[in-house]
Amino acid sequence: MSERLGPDVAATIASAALAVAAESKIPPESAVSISQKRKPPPPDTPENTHTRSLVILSFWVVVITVGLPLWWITTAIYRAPLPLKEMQSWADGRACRAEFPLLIDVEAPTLPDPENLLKTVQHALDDANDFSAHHLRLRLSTNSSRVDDGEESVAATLRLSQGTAGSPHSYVLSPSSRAIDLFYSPSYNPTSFSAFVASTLQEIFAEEQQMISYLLASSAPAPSPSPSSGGGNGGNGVKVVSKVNTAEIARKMSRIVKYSPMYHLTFSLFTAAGAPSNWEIEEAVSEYLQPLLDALGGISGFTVDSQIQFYASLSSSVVPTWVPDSEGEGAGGRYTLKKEDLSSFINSAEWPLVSITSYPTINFIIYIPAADQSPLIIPTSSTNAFLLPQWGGVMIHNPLAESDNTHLTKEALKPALDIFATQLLALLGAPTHPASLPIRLDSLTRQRSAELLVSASSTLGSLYRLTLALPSISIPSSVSTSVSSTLSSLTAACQELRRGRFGGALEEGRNAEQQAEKAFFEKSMVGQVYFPEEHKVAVYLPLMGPVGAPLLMAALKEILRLVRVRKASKLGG
Amino acid sequence: MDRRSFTVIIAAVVLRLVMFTAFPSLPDLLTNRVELSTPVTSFKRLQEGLFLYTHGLSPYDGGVFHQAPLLLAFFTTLPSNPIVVYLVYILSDVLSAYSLIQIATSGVSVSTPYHTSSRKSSAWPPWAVAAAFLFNPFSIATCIARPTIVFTNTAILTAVAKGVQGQGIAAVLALAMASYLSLYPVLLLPPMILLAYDNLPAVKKKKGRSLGSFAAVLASVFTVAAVGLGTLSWGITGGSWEFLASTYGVHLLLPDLTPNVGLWWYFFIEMFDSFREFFLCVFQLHLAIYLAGLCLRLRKQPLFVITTLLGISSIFKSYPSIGDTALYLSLLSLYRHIFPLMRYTFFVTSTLLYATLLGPAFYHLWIYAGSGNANFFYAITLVWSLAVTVLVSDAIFAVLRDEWETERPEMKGKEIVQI
Repeated sequence: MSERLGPDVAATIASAALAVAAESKIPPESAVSISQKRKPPPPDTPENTHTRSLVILSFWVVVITVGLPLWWITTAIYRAPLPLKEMQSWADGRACRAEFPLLIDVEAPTLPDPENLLKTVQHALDDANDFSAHHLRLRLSTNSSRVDDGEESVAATLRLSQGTAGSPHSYVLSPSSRAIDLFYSPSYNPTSFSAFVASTLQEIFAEEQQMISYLLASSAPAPSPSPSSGGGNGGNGVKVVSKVNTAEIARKMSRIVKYSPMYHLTFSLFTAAGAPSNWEIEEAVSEYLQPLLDALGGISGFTVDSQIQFYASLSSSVVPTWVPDSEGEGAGGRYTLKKEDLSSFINSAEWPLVSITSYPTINFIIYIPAADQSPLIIPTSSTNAFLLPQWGGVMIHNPLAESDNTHLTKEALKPALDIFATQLLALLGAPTHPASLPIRLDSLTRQRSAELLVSASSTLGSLYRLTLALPSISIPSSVSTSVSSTLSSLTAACQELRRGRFGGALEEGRNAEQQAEKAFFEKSMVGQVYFPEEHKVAVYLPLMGPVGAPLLMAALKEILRLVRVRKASKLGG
Repeated sequence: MDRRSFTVIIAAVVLRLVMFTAFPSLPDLLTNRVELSTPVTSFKRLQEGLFLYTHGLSPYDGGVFHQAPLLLAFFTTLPSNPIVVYLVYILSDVLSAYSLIQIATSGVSVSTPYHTSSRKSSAWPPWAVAAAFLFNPFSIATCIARPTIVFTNTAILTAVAKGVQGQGIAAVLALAMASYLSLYPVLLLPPMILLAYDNLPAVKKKKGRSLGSFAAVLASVFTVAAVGLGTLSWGITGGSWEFLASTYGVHLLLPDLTPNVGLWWYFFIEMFDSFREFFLCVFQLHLAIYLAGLCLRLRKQPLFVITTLLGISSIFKSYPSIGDTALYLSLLSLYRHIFPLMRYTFFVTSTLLYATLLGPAFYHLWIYAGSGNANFFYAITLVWSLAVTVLVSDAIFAVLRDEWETERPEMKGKEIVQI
């Protein structure tokens, strides 16, 4: 209240000055001495009346010829045209039905009738698939006829070959390539083998499919009815993908850090004592983690830094409990952390974990407990580490050898960095399931594209609702530009997805998301969102009251006088 | 100039020299006072601009300096001795006082061709008017703080002095200089033309020059002079029009919200961004809206129109300072004869004193002690503005009453009511 008092008082002063001017308009003749109160005031001289009319007119001329146009120009609301219909259709998920056609090459040099097998497998896959947007497509490729069109990325390569005698069908995933080696038993039976191939593929891509369907379902209010629902469960042993375990997926999704084209990784060594005083983190990161970061480079970039904090105490609420070894004499034992302790393990009040970058930071912490609290164990974790959703990972390192106490070597850090690599993938949202890293990363690309598509569309939807809800909000042309850029990127991303070019889709999705955010958080608009219409009363009232009232009253008086004069002249005439 | 006036001026010069030399820290102390130095007049900012200018950089880089380029050219020719700078400011005050003496000698404040006050005899003699300006604490403080408003004031007073002598061209040239230095004096052009026209020597008037052609000539002289000064500045700043936005743009758009004695800074800190342009227009228009009304109503006394407009702009302009009020008070001292007709002299005097004493205290509480906030200082500037507003309106009332009593001598001394 007192903050807003100032302008009102200012306006009062302005009105005082106006009143002065009004006073100056009072003709001398209209002043009358108190002693002659009963007498009517002496009539104005024509000259005075004329001057008074001119003075009032001069004020009104300025108000009308300059004031009103200025008011009109300065308070006009510019609303750049927005493609509202298109925005709405994106927000409703009607504009684009995202599709994820996964191409799988099949190499079967030794099989007698690969085409037939492929047909059967494809049929089984299509039947079992209850999420039509994400489907697998098989393509027979021979080494000679491999078409390098560079158009479509191949999700995986199936290599079919004969296994050792007597063994059942089996498959092997290479951890560093997209190849899946399938071995059929020598007693080749097309029916059983095709069922095995289909179930293998489903198993490999099940998690990704669930994630994407979860992502798309959370955005689109009306999921498209799946054409094959119900009819898929043939008796031929094809394992139908288990019903989407929504709770499990939601839990997984909740720990994923929001997508950003860049992330900052901070590796921190928190030690409860003064040692170790140095660690070979730079070498360790470049040797153990950098390959993963390079592989992730197509999705997001990373910057890395590290820090050491000595005498880092745990927050007071975390008290490890002493659990003696059951068979010991009492000396042996360990300190354990309860599950509740883990959530408050990070002492954010004292540990310097403030992000200084404009993009999200992921923290990885190695905590070395004090000697009198060692060894510190998390009983529920075999690796003595835990993951903090959307934030980072923590590992508790209990030094084993004496040398550890002053210097942490690269080798000593390896287990920690292996855990951090796993945690990083989990935080970024890569599926945990198939052992092959390239397949997981491809999966992550598709997942992130879906996420970006959904998030950019929903931002557009928010902007759409905002512009409709606040008809008086001004929309700068930059917003309109951003929106059209978002829309074209979204369309492009959608097309790329359909064609199976997921890298391009991610690129376009990234741009769409960025532009959509830019449009929605336009500086001049954000302020107006919190400016209700009623405030305009507060803005105009100080002006209209003290400044407008004298002006209006003077004009009114003058008009009344003119009317009276005209009447009198008519009567006289 | 009689001997008394001469004595007054000598005494004032000595007083200022003593203030400058006996208290060496005083000039810098006063320079830092927001009441005396505004972003568009501050001596400190002038030095910043000078430094950039002499080092071959654009003086307007950095957004600190908002003053006219000719000031730079003028100050670079001065030797860098502070005494010289003091002397320049003292000389400027002396010229102002000399102009005031000329105005008072002409007697235009008591008798114009259309109106002669019945209280003519009680007007102050020229030396007293000069003394009222030279020994006014506001004027002295302004001189010692060395804001460039001092030069604007001198230019305005010179213009008025030329105006009362009927030298229209000279008056308008001086006014162009004042407008060039701080923009708002441009509002004085219409009453200045009236003043010069009314006081044209009888010989010239007989030639039958109409007010219209006279005004057209003076207005075009003013325009040519203003354009000439602008072009000169363009040359000085190395062929760049940047100075327009950095000087007049600052007067008009108020980008610098440093506190001052005016009403704008707090208002525009609080104003919603989307209404900022609108209220800038309202405030600027508010300054100009009185011009026509006053000229019409007080057609008989254009000098008083100038005085009143200076009073109004000392309250409502974008960066007012005590120096503006000092100018208004010095011109008002020409109207000593209407003081008995004013109704609120006690109120105004005490309120002005109250604001003068409490203003620095509240500013200290806000900025240095930290125990107050911006509202403290703003409240005191409101009181200050209220006092000057009441003074302006009371003076208008008194002048109108004086005109009325001249028309109707039988009403002299009787109470009146406004209907």
